Amino acid sequence: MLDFRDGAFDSVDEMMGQAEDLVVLYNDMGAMGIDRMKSKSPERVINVGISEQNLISVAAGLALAGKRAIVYGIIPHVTGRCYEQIKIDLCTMQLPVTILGIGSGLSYGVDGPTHHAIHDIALMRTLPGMSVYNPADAVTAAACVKLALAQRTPAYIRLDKDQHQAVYAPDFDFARGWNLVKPGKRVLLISTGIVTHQVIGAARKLHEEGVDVGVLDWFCLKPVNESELVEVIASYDGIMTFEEHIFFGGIGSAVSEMLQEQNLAPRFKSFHLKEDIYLGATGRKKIGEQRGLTADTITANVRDFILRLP
Amino acid sequence: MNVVDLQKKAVEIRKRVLSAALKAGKGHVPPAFSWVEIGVHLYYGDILRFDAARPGWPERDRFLLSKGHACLTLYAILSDLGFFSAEELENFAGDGSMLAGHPDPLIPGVEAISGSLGHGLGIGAGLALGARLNHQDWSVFVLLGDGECDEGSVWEAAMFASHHKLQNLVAIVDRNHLSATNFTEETLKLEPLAGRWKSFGWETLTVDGHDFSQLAEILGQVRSRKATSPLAIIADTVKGKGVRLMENSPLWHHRLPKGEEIAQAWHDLDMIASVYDESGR
Repeated sequence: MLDFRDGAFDSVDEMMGQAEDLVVLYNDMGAMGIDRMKSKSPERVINVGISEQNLISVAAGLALAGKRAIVYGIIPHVTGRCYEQIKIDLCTMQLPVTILGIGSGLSYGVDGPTHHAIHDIALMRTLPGMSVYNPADAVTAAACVKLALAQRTPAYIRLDKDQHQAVYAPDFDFARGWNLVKPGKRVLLISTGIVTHQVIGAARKLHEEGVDVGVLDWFCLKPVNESELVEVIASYDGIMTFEEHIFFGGIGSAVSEMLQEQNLAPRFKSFHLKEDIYLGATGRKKIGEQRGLTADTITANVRDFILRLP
Repeated sequence: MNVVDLQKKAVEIRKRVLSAALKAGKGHVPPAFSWVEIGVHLYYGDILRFDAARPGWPERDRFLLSKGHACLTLYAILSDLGFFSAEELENFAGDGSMLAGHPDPLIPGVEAISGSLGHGLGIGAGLALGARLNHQDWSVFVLLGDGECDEGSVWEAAMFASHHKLQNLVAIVDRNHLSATNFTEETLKLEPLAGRWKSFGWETLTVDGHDFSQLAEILGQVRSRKATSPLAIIADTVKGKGVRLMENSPLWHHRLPKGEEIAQAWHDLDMIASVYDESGR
């Protein structure tokens, strides 16, 4: 089991050793990786305090002075809370600032809706020149950090708080932004982030039943080489998307946008979170079962989907 | 430049601002007029280090106009100094013009986008920290509006800058006592404004923002000062300064003179110009 933060901060740490221009800023949010880097380079690892608007503006100022900044905090605090600073200070000037947000989807489910990150992909996808990464494991998270920092433009990386098995070997080439984990017949399951584990589990079960579906893990949601992705999508009769995010602005809407633009009309079904505020302690397992985002529910829904294919 | 030349330059800048705004049929003239002397002193009074031929010169000081709506004064100064042509200024806010109603970094001499209030000081703090990390000796000057100090992000940045002892950061608050629709003290009390900056850990000085001698005394010492904290200069100013019908009035934020008012505005600026022409002889 690997922690996304370890993956991401191992990359940052490694790159800080090689590149003097990297600076890490955070909003009083702890992580072991941060402590380690701070002990090595205290002047380049700065706790800005609980002030996210300033966190982003300071990162922008550092970038204008020739630095590349990595900003870390809990997702709603470092995306929605300071959205205007991200839009204006980072995106209009296309500054090399990478936002590392912890707590994708319902990672912080039982902590209540202030900490849920179920609108963030939509927020970040709409911003011009903002790259958006949603890794499924710590290996991908580590690679996304390197890709984002190499781009030298604004980027957002969504990290899960729970530990997960690795989907990928460390030498996997992530440059394409998505991976056809497994090709299949007729139906392609597209997922992003940790839901990919559930989708892979479902595909395995279906395989045992003699049903062979494709699985595509989409980790760089923006920018995307659309023609290559469309080529894969176009070879299936049915597309199903799975994400721990609301439909609007997530991969469900991204795939529908792509299908509409390309005049493709496969059977399509999206599984996502309700566009709602989940009050109370919301465990991701229970909601996952309700919304068709666990291996068992995905298996059942795929079976049903296949039966309805023309 | 001596004081009389600076005063003449200030009138000239006000005339360019008014002319560009009248031609465009838009622009925030009164908020631009309140910081004319500050801007003129920074750019013509040997305070800012810059090279109009090399806007990206790495050793330049960084000036951020955080109250971006007052950009006409900056545009007039930058075009006068040759960062871009006078024709560009005359085309202010024209469709497709480089010069929009709020500044962006495509404009030579503009360091960062502004127009949404409360961003400049944080960006300035990041720049100042960057200069320190880079072992470079340029300074950062941020001009804020007083109404802008309603924004919480200003105070987040103020805390950050003093905590990190950003001695190379200067905030100048254009204290014209008016925000967009009313007097600041009737909208959201700012006083004791200097005391607030001081309590946030800044060396804080107050100055008459239209008096070149006072500005020289304070701005001239910015680089040699002993304090390790950032410096806040509360510049007492008059919104609409120079045109009597605009001065210190809640009606005049982005309103433009019309009809008879246009002649009155030019008359007032001509009167000031004639006084300095006389004193210069």
